[in-house]
Amino acid sequence: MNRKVKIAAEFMPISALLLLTILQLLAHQSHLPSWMTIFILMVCVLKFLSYKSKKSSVPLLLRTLLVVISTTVFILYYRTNFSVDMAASFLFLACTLKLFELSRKKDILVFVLSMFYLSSVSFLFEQGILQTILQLLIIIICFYSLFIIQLNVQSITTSKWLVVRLHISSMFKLISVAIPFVVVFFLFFPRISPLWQMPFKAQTAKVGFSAQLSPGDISELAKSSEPAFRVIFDNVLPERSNLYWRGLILDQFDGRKWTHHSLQEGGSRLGKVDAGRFIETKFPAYQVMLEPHQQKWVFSLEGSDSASSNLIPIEMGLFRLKTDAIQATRYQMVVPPSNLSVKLAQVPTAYMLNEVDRTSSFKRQDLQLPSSRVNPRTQAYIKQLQLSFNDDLQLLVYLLKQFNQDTYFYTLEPPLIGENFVDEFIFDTKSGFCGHYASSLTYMLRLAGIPSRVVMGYQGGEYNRQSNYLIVSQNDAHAWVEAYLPKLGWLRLDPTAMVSPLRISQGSREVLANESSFSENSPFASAAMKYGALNWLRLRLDEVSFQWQNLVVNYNQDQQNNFINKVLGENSLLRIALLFVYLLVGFFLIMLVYLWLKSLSGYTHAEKKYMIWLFILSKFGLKREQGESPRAFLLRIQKTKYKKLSNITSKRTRILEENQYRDKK
Amino acid sequence: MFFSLDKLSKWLSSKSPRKKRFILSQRNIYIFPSSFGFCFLVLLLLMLLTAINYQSSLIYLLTFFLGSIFFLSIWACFLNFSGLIVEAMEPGRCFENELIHYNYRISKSKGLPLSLKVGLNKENAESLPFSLQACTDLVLLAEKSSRGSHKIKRVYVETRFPFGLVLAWTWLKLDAECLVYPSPVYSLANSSPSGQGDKNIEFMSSDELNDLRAYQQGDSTSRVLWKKYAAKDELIVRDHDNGSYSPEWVDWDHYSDPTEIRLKYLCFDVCQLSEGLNPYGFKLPGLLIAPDMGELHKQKCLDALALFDQ
Repeated sequence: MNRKVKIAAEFMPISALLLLTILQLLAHQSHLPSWMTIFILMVCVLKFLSYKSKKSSVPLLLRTLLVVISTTVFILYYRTNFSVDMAASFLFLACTLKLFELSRKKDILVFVLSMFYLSSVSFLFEQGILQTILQLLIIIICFYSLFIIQLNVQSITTSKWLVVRLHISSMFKLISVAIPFVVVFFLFFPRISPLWQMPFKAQTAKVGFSAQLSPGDISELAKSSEPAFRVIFDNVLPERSNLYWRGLILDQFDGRKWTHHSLQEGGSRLGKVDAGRFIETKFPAYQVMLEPHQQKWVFSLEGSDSASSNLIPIEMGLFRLKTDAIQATRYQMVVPPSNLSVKLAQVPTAYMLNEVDRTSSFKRQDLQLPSSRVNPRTQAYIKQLQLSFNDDLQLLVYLLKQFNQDTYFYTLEPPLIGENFVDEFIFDTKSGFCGHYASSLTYMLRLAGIPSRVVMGYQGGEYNRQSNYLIVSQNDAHAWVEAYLPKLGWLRLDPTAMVSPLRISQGSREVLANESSFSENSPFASAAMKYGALNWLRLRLDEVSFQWQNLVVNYNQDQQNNFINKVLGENSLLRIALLFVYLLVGFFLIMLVYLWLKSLSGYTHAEKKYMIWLFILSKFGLKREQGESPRAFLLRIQKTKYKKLSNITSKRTRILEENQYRDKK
Repeated sequence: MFFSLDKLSKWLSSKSPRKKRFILSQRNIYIFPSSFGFCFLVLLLLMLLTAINYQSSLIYLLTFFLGSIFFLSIWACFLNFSGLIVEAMEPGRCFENELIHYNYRISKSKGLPLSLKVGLNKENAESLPFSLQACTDLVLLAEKSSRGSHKIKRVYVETRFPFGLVLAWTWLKLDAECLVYPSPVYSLANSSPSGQGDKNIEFMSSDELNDLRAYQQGDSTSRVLWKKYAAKDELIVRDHDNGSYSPEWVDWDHYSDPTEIRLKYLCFDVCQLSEGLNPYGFKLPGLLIAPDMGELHKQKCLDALALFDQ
């Protein structure tokens, strides 16, 4: 066995490497399939046992078996489904199997390098502050392992450990010196647009709604208190009952499920005109920080216009992102006053909307109906109503009022409904969540010949007073109706508000908190709702993660541009390059001073001053010889022509001598 | 590039003077990313590409963090290496057909010498284990060689402190020496001088008997006549301060073989006599070492053999 092998085997930081694997497993939890989690844990336990029992390695047969099994399962699991999480899982699997082969120093180095890359990959799936702290810990352990290998400690004794610990603390000092560099690079390193389209997309199952609405879809969301997005308003916060965040419009109904037919680009003016960054506007504006939901849709208030370069306006007053929101995404919207919705007195809950019309020729889509075989009772009901009302508006008001006057219930857990969804809901069960109400009202309006559609999005939000922003959570998810009347234009109607006015004025938290399944998937948030102090803490934590997203995660090209313009006056490569040069020179100067101060440490004040004076004298060609006493040196200087220098020298020498030979009491 | 840098540093060091003691500083330290460091840089590039293509701020952040640590480790590596003192110690001594060894010492005025690799060339430099001594005496081994004085060609010292990302190295023309003695060979042609020595004890003349006295405290045990002690159970000491005892001589003129062989015979004689109890003198053409005993005397004689005619 050669020497290299021995060193690595004797002082391999194996426990550190195992810890690394476990922490990395935690960091990648969101996308790793569960069989892999179990497999990786198993490998770690095996490795740990073989390390404890001082055996050189896990038996070859077992190792080969594990490799064969895991790769087979991997191939069967993913097949040809190429995605980022497949690539990440593969890398992780390979790393874990590498744990068996850590006999040489080189293997450890390769392992640590791949851990570094795994860390960066994990940020494709999670960008929270906790994830960042976890990754920082992983990076530090990686460097610790590298450091211990370099120290070449072959056996640890207590006294050795004390010294090693000292060096480890100096390693931490080194890492902390890195922080200012990181900050400067992060702020100023030019962000460029993607060089090429990545073939794989990150796909994780996140809480959030899909592009369709079946009965029961939205009530699933109400079980989670995870934030969907957060909003900062530039001016005044609109009234809570007017916070309808439009996201998707569903206009295709099959009798049970709503989907969207097709959407065309176009519509908004501002978004088209502005190609660049956030615009200065005198209109009320708001900024949305969207949690990653892996989709392109965004949420905006009625009448909003895009003021961000990353949005594309599509028809019906909606917007889409240019790329999927795989990480927190920020966009800014403005609300021109002319676009504001106007309350319509005649119809309960109704507001008249602007700029939500279709630009395409699919106007008939808003009257689409499923096959007439389903929901026969509702069809008959509407036919009968049409006979008694000769005005569409009156019919509409009647239908809305029915929700309030009849015994309808607003509940998260409605009874299951069979084939004829609308029939059973309207006439039999009479209890449902917002999706039920919106879906059946739209269907009934369409039966009556009034163009209408279901809108999905969020309603309301929780205002964080201390830091003035609105948190919109998954349990604020909502569905409502938009209907078209020729004289009034498009109207926003909310049947849920008729059933449960509190839902709109107070929010789902107040109304549904007593239902056991509300927020059941977010235990901390549901506990926080019951206790004031916990809720305060929850809001603080949310603020931290919001600021993190706002300042760090979303520091993109636009942000950088604004920042650099503010700091350097102009965003040019030359200025940035100059800045880096200055900083580098500054760093070296600080280091020189540091080294010089370090070389002076251990001397008294008088000695230091004398040494500085000697340095100055040496510039005049007056050098103290080795072994020459200060006094002898002084005498020599007094013989030279420098009168002034010799005066100062005599003073310095006197102080030095007084200091050195004075009685120390 | 690295290869040529290595050659350049070697060439530059060959221009510098040979010294007993080197203090490492910016004058003689070369620093460059190690092969692991290059792998690390490639990884950083890969991470940067990932960050750009996925527009991920946090991957940017991570990349810059790792990059800064790489940059700072250059500095840390230099700080650890500079101020290191490498000095040549007492010449090493060995016989022909033994590995040559050079004694040297590594120390540091402040802190410990950490994670060093030392060798006569880059390929077989050996890692020094972690030790708590600020000053370590060490031996460099080289291939066996012929009789004479051998100087070290150059010493290679490297460190990859703190993370193995950067490699700092130096070539030092250290003035370390090793004396190689001729291998001892027993000469069949000549009667062993030590044989006569044995005879002397048994057939001692009356004059010599007068030199004997009783053991006193403080007398060297090597002067005790152990045979007498075995026979009569009394400790008798031979007192040769009065100089009448005639010493043995290891003499060049004893043999008439070619020089190298003669030196081998002489070496054998020195080794043989030094194990005996008598003082012995040493004669080479142009050199005479007065009779004496002890390790130092033996070493003086052997040094003379090693350096003869060189």
